[in-house]
Amino acid sequence: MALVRGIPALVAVLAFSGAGFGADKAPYTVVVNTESKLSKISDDDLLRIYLGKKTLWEETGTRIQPALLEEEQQVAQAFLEGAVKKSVSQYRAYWKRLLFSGGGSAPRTFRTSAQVIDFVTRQPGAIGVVESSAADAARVKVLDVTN
Amino acid sequence: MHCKARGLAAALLVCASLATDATAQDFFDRIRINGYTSFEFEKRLSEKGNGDPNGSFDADGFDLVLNIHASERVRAALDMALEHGVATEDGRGNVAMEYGFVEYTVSDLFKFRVGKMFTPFGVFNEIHTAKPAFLSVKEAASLNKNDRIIKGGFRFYPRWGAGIALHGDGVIGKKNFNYDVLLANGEQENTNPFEEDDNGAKSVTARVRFEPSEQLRIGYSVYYDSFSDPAVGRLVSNGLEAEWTLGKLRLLSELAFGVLSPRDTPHTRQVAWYLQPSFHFKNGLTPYLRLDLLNLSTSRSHDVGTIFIAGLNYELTKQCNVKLENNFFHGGTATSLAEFPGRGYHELKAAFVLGF
Repeated sequence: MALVRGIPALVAVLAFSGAGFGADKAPYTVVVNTESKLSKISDDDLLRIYLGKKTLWEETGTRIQPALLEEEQQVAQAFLEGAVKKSVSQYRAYWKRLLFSGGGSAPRTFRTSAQVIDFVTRQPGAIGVVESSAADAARVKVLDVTN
Repeated sequence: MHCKARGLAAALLVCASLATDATAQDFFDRIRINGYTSFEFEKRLSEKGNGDPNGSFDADGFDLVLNIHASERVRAALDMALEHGVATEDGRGNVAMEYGFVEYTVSDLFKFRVGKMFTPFGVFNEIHTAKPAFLSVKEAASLNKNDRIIKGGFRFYPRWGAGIALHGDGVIGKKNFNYDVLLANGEQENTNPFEEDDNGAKSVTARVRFEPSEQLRIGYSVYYDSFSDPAVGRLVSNGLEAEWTLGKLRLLSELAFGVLSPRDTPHTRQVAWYLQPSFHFKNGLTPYLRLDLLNLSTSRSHDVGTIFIAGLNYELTKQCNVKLENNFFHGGTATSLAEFPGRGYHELKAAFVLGF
């Protein structure tokens, strides 16, 4: 009887630990230069930045310089499919059209999260997407992404 | 003393190299160099027709695209094209500034541009010859280069314009939109339209695009020009575009209708459209179909020309694509294709393209 009573409690603990250990947690983190006054960014703004529709931090008048990992990497793929809502091939096709028609350059891509962080550290207007485990809070500011 | 001097020199050298490093990094962060190139092959498959009877290789083009951020709000953009193995000594090929403009960003909604630009009408004109940016070997001819289908039509708009433009991206009710307005010298043949205007009035092009959902984009373009030459008169063209993506299926379509109104003769109303379905497989293969149609005048009969394209686009790497397609040209009895057996012909087109 005690065993039967314990089952719901066990189920609750398992469900809680699933959420707590990031069942829905994105494998990437969004970071900006430490000079940035931002502490969070909406998912709409994030999408618009990585599609070249938002190019200026209006608060400071600084040019937004987006960066991410190369598209072959799973973290970049998760970001593009999750936040930008495009597959890698759709994202690539989108930027080829925009770039070659004079609409501006695609976000910079780097091989490692450390290189993305170096770039974000160097440029005041930069925003980067890195592996969550690599986000170095001493060098860059981590942003909360809100709905 | 000697030791101190050597230490000082070494320290200066380290400082200089650090400064140079930082300056160089900043310089390269401000400049982006991209480009594309394509190599093509065309051969007419029918015994008679307008296409290439021998099968020719074409070193089609090599374009360098530069984006230079001179400051936080100022961008200079340049596309330099070297076409068909250009050799000016022999008068072969073509060198062209496809576009060269400076953009000043007031906000995302207001970006001013001055210089030479592609006319912002419809889908394909600004993509122009950038073969990595579209599926087929050539851009859709019906709206862009309609004399490739049948002769005798007029262009709905000139491909370039020198002037002042405004571009903006915005959001209405969480839906994205963008717009373009270009005031330019307009079309002309007697003077260089990128230097001097021989028309009394400027041409105006405007386009607005709206994204009602993540899968659908729709747009409307208009071009207006009034020519000093009474034989040409006034040109007004309207265009509609739609792009619908449903998973791996994509539908792209445009419709244009233009009215050319000479002062002393009746006006001509020309219509063109295309429909292009495609399906993207995970392995990089994308089969596509496209039907291009041009009706030279809505008030005349048998003057409609079409191209039906069936093709394959294969993404070799993320930069390289191979394309292979059959083009079937067909025209009415009052078109330039009427002289050929069956009033048409087939042509094979292939391309290897690289975008970087």
